[in-house]
Amino acid sequence: MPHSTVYWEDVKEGQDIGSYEMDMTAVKVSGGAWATRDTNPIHHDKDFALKAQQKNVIVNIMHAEGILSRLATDWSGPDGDLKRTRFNIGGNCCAGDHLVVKGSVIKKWVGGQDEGYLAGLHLVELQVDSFTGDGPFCDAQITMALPTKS
Amino acid sequence: MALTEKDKGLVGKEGEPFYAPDDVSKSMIRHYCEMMEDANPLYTDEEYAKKSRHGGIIAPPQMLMVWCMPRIWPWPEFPWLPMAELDLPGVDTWIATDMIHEFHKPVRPGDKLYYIMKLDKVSDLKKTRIGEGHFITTTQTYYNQNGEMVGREVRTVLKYKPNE
Repeated sequence: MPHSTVYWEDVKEGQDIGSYEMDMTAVKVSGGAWATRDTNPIHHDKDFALKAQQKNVIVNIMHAEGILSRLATDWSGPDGDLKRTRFNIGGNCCAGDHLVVKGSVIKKWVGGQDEGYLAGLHLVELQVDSFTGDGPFCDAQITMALPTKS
Repeated sequence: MALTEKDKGLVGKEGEPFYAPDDVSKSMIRHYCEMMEDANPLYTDEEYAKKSRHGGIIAPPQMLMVWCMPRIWPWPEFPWLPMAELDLPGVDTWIATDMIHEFHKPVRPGDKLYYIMKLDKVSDLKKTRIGEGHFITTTQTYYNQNGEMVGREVRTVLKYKPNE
């Protein structure tokens, strides 16, 4: 399968990086919790989730980060490297929800000498947001290193 | 309120290394990608990954925390949680306010990871929009079997007394 490459030179601050949507079935929610080794019953036991005032089992944090990270690498292609994620969870995503994930480029720069492991890399910062029918779920600012044409 | 002497003494403390129960494995990577529907060929396409700059399969960087999740059988493990050891009298509710993950080196199948938890900072009592509390910052630094740092998580939690 061919894969696209986004080169750093071609990126514009403010540009859209696309979106994807997913039906968050109970299989996805509980399977995501198990795939990230999160055994909290709120992610797989509906009775427990209802008692905790949720409408169904909820997506766990590491699964949510995977959902946001996926949009970043779907956009960049496999030549882009995830370097840093600042992650914020403001709402919930439950089994039965339809999730929309979308993002844009907020910054483009070359890593400075004071930026440690990012020094000298060709970087972009992405804003990635996710929503259910009930409103915002989680979002992240994701820093990626991209290849250059030279 | 100022911090108790015990709490002050905990700032800067590092826990013992906490080891991943399993080596990084292709099957756990594939189970993860299946749930996210993440088709990045570096994670699951052996042939593609071999020809890439990585020379082989890598784990999704964002899986870093997954590898060191504690086992629940045959013996449950309880890694050191600074939050549980701090006294912080008068505050009992908590909320994560900031979480940063840094990815320094690729993690590959066969790697055996461990992390070291450090309590970096505990603020004096501060007034916030939701109540009075202390900001607690911790860093979990992850290493591979060669002692190379592969990434870290810096997390800030507010432990607070909600406004009446």
